[in-house]
Amino acid sequence: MPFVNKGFHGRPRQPSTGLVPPGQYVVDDFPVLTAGRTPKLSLDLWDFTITDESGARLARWTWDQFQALPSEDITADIHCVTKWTKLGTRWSGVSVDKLLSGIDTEANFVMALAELDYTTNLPIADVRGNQAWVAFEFDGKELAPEHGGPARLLVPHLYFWKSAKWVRGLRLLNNDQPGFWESLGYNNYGDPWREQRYQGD
Amino acid sequence: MDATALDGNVAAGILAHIFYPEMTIAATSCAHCGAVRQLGELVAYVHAPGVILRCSSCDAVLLRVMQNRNRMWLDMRGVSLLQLELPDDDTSA
Amino acid sequence: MLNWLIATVTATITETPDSMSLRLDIPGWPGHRAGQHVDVRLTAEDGYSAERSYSIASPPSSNEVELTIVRLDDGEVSPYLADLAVGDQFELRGPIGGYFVWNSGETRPVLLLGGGSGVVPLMSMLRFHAELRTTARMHLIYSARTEVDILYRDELAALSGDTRDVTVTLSREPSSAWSGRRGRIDLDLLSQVTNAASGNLLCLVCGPTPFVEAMADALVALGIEPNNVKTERFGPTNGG
Repeated sequence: MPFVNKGFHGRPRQPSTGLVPPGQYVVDDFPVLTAGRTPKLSLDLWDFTITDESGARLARWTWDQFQALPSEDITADIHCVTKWTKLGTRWSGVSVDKLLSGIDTEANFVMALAELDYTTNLPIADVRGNQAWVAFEFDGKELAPEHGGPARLLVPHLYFWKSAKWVRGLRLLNNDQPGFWESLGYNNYGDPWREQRYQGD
Repeated sequence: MDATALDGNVAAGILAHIFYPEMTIAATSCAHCGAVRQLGELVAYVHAPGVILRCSSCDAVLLRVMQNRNRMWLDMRGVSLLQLELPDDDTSA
Repeated sequence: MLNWLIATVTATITETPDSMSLRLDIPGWPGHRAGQHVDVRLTAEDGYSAERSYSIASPPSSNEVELTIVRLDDGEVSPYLADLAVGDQFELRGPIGGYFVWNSGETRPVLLLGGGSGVVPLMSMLRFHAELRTTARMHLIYSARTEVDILYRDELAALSGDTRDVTVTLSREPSSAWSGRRGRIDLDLLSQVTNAASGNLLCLVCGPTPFVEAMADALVALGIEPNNVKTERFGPTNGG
């Protein structure tokens, strides 16, 4: 029987309803979790590349080229593995479908590559079909560095660690490989609706 | 240095589940640059439910530890050598 | 193995308008060293829990552990702890930290630099020093915002003298009634203290991360060996 502190409420949150994945609490703020110092990258040096498993480049966009791509407004609920959920977050970004559209591949998996040697792996089917974006605006403003700016991956149907901050590219993989958190014990897939937080869940 | 960076002291609680000797004075050798530092001198980022410790010289990841209820994961690939101080009553060798 | 223990509040002490100290009875407490901290865990009825670290303000000799809590209005844990009454209980584990400690038997002169609530673990060291009657000199420089924010004000005055010096500097005091130092801890003040110290000065710096970074850089620039500068960073805000 765990010890309970009577009268302790913690950060404002609502209990889980049918609209919120199990074990999550709805919050109004936007907590920052990080594994390293916030990268401060000049937009002149930023690029986004798609490579194959061997590292051969299949596509590349500079910031200006990236901004010239058609972008969309996305409203989504986001779920962090540390149990907070934020409803109705608003983003703008370029659909990953758009980024992959010129590329002919039989790869089944992708590894998102980001600053700070941060990586996260996903099935390619989970970044296609209008499920994933490279987002550069949050709440109508430029995405702040502590939240992953200038651009982060946005994959709201999975736990938010999969939405890699400071994303710089995708590597197409024939075989799945665990990324930074997946190799430390986080679940390989991360479906919030099945509470797949850790390995073995 | 990021304003959210802490020092290795913050990992002491979670590492006490694995290591018997006091970990904040344990010395780590960075596998990337060779710098030798006490754990308390390393840069720590708390990414609940885990902690990442980075080398204060070269920023490489030294150690990652995560705890969920009754399981822990520890990745020390970034540490090439760990030196521990044993408590005084533990000198039987 | 650090287990969670149950702490019972035996006394609450008002320190400043925004802060208070809790005196705790903790069955199973193994004792602690000056500078160590505890992890506190609060659990809500729906199972949600939050953890924070708090430095121990009391010296090793005390039977009861004392924590000083600065109430942050938007904090998750500090408002709850600051409202506790005698008899209330909560979970904690510790003591934690062998790196940021000052031990009896330490003969080197010591410089303690505290920013805001960073003074709490340093207070444990100062109180301990006073009990030991050691000849090693200890100088605390404490940077607070305004006069009402000064923690342990009367006790700091009482502890100065003999082999202990205390300097308080206020960064944001508007009133001209304050006749003490103003501004942040600057190179001038640090160089006066570091030059005056004989030999191998040990420096212990605690407070918000930007404060600790600035102080540590300044000390190294003044020629203090990096190994002689021990730091404890509280992050961008002091817990919450």
